[in-house]
Amino acid sequence: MGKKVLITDDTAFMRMTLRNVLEKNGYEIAGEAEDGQQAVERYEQFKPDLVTMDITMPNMDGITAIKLIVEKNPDAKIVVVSAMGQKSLVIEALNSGAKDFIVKPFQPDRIVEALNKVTGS
Amino acid sequence: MEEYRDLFLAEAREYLQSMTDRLLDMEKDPSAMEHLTEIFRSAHSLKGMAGTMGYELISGLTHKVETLLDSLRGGQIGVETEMVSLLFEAVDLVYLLVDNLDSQAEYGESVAELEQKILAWLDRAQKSERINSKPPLQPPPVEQNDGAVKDKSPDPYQKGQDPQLCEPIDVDTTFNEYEKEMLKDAIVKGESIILIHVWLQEGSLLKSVRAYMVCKAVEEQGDIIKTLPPMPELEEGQFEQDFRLVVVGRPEQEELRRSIEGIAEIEKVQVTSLELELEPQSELAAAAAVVAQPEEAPLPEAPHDLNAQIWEQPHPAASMDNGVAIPQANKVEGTVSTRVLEKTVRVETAKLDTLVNLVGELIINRTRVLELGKRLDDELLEGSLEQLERITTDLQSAVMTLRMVPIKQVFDRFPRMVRDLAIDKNKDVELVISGEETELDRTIVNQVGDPLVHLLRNAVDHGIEMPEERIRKGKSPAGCIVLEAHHEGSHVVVSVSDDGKGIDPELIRQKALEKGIVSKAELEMMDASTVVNLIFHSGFSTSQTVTDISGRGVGMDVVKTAVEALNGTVELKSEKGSGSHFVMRLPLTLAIIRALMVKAGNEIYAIPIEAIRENIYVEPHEIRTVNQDRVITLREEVLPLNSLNERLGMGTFEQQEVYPVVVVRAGNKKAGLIVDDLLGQQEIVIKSLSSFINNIRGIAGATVLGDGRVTLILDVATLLEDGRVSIGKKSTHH
Repeated sequence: MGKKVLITDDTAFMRMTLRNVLEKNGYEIAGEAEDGQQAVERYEQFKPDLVTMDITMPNMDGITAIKLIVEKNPDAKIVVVSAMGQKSLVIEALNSGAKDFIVKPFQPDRIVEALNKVTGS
Repeated sequence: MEEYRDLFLAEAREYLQSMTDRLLDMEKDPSAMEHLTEIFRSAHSLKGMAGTMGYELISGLTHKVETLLDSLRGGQIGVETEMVSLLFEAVDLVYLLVDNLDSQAEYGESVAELEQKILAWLDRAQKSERINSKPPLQPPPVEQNDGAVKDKSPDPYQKGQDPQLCEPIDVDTTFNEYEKEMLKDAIVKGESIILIHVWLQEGSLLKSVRAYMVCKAVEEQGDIIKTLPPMPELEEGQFEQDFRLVVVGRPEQEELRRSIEGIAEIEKVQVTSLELELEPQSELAAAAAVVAQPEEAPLPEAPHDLNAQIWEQPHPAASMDNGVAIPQANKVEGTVSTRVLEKTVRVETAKLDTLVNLVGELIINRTRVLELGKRLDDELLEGSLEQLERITTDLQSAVMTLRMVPIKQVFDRFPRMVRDLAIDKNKDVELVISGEETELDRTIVNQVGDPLVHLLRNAVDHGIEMPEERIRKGKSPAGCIVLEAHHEGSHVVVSVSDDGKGIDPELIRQKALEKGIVSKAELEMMDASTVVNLIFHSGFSTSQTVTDISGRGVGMDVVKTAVEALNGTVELKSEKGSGSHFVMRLPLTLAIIRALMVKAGNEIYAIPIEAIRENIYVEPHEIRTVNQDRVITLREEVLPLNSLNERLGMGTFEQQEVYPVVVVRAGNKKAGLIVDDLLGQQEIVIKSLSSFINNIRGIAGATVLGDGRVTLILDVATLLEDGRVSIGKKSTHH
């Protein structure tokens, strides 16, 4: 059975793109979140093996969400999916407990590779 | 990627609209940071999406916009009209690119030009900042951090050619004194010196962060005493695909390699022991001597900084007690479950149209089945037919609501348009919009834009006076235009009101006479409200001077024609000196309407129920003839009568004992239509006539009846226009 992923991004477009790429590569989509708040809630709800996290989102940004998730689940595997030009934010996210990052626009095989590395599969 | 295109388009437009709205808000209230944050977020999301789709022009341009916004956010530049216009220009251009995804390349030049403008603006802003001798807190946003624009900054590290990276390390030239001390120190302690060579995958973005991750992983097992290229360049991402680290400590080489390879976008890792060619043995001896007084070998600056940066990160919090965590999780789950379902689903409009058409067919056939059922007179059948009727009616209204969209879609573009027009005309205009959530049929929403543009342009151009003139008149210098929509029964009323100079009935009278639209006798019969409504006559334009905006020889009749094409009406209420008030009444939907079926001659016609005021029976003695026109007096009002047969050229007026008359109304015109028989109301599905017969005055379309017969739907508005009508007298009842 594929690893369960929670996709977090405020644009439906990105969520759909990620969903498609991941599903094609044997991941199971546990759920989607549109902002950090939802991500935190759905993490608890779905207990995914992996989270993809956008940084800039309404209501609650990705960094806050990462902190909250990691606080409760120190082993949470979160991969930041960020846009270009957010260097300091990405570093902050990594320091907050994200395991890795990929940069939008991403190539499908890159994200799959990154997630495989993080999940160790 | 093509499959995502529609979603990309829809979402991109949403973001652009949001940017437009927020830019307008920001201009009004530059101190409110939330607008800027929102604009920034939209631009940012757009950039990410466009990049993923490979639309480089869009992502490049939005990136520049982001940079500009960023400097606004940092307070380095203030909000100025000129800059907002620059941002609008960018939004427009992105709109263009989004609308022309297939021919984006054609806009390459415009994009480059605009990017230059943005850069120039940033440049200027920074210079003026420097003149104020206040150095910016942060270095101005530059591109070199960003993979996408890396080729612009001169990169000293040509791939594969950098001697520092590819040639074996020569201790003497590579390491400075401090670093040499570190090396010696390590050797003395018996630690190993390891060289790690890391290659990133081609096209990796945010390389600096990638390098940071590698350093972080390495620092957990040893100390980095040197990086190639040097740390500042590594931190700025100023390297091609690879970099090297010199590490001292006691790490397992295999372990090091694995942890680095576990990071995404790492192409290759090479971990080797560094064979130091330390020359004379005496140096080592010297090193040993130094070790005796460790204080004398201070840590080199760069690695020290790195240490500080890397160890800043908090260690993962201690794991939580399960007993506490579980109830919390349950609680969260309870609140979440209601939010799991998505609120909306995007559906192709073509699918919706098909659905509406099918429901239309269903309604037609239902009518047919109901008719047949009546003939059979079977109680059980009747019961289930009633049920069928109820369900199909519900289905119909449910489907119709699917086609309903908020009029916001149209209104959204107006704030921007009015702003630009006002600036162009040197006028000060505020546009107030209300009721934008009012919903109506998608097809109507799509067509209501043009007439509204016309009305708004007129309001800015002719309605609102120049500020000086307004002040002279005792008005506030800023004019106000109110765009409003609301439901009224089965109609939507959209109005455009301004507090400008209004329309002078006297001027209309003169013009109308001049242009021969009405005769003097007719004019004398009209009240002021009827007179101002003459401006909807074709060929009528009151603009004294032809202007760029609304003086292109297109009069208000265009508005009227467009609105009538939608089965709607438009009216003007104006008072000289205190503004004009245009009121458009539009039907909620065009697809299925309720109609009264009437018989005239051998034909059955459908009259839309919206156009009907009442049905009456008239006896021959009630009919009088005035100027050869048949009229009756209905509740003290003179009502002209038209024989429908005669009007449509299908026959002549025939004497009868009693005449069924349908009193119809369009706008402020009323008339009675004499028919042969009233057949009752029913739902009809409007089918438009094919193009070669679709412009017949008096006919709005056709429908198929339950028994399969094709029936014409009357267009009351044009029918009244050509016939004998009473105008100017508002009906006393509603």
